[in-house]
Amino acid sequence: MTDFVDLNTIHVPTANTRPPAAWGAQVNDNFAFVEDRPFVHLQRTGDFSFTAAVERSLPFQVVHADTYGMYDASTADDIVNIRRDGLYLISWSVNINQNGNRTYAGVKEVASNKWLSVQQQDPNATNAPVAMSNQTIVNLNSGDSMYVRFYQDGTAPIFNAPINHLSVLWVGEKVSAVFP
Amino acid sequence: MTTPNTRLTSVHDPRPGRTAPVEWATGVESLFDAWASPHSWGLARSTSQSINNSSDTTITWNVVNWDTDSYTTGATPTQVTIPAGLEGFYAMSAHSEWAASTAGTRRDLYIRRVTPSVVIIVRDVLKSVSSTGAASGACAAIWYLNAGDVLDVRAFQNSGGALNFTYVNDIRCSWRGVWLGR
Repeated sequence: MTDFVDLNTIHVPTANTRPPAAWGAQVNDNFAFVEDRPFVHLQRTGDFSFTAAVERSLPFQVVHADTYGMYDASTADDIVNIRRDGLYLISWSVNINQNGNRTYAGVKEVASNKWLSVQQQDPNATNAPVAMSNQTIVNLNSGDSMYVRFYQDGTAPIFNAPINHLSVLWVGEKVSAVFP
Repeated sequence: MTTPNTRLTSVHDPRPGRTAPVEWATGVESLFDAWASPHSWGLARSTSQSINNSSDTTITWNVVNWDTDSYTTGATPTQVTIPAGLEGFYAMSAHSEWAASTAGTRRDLYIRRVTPSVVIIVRDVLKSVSSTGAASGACAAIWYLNAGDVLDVRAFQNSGGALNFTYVNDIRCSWRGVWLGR
């Protein structure tokens, strides 16, 4: 895929100055890039049993979209790998069949173990289904990875299909060195 | 900054034999500016902020992680104002971390348009489940905003006394937004 380039680095339009061919070519390439900008949408469609009171990640089963090779189930079925620096819009949702005394979920960057988004659920709704979702806007570098993490301390927790999603969309170049 | 996101058809009607004016090329660059430097802000706290009991309180952001288009003013902004020319659809998210306390019932976080006052999105974070466990929460929305709209993030808790909106070294305790188009 052609890469996105800031057009100002090639040519700054001024009166009576014709843009060079490289500028026009990059306009074309930029349109091609944003039409197929990095985007991945993953889902778990089947129930998933996991150990109570242990934070863990969600393995996905369905790839609805992956325009930039950010997901490889044969390597890790729970991890999205960022292939290009950028500002990313991330949305996630999980559904847990039972709620114990404590439940939380979100998205974590793998290497730093930092939350990119997280929320906790009502501790009073014991044994009721728990659905959580949110979105976040973060600066990420090529090489960063993320996964959906969750925790709950009830008995025999099971994810209800099919309300378990993760989507990651490049919305532009990185705007800050601040991570995430 | 060039006039943001110029509608190309407003400056040039491309037909055979017609030469595009410089305003057209400038308009092309302005469109891609939205990806080269996404119109956006990122605000955070580096210290805790005390929130009084049962009192809606505006969060003061003492760290401006980034602000591409002067959405904020000053070193410790409490508000975001949509600049001229940047009306449109925005994705926004706010995250919070409350100090541990099992008292009371509510730990709310919401994004508000100040004038006219509209709560855009609210998240009832709910209290800690133990005396040592903090409560994390987040709210997010995609919303159409007009130039001049003023926004803030507010917090509410009813633990019975002041409670800290705490600083954590990650996304928690932050407010971010990005223009998606119009």
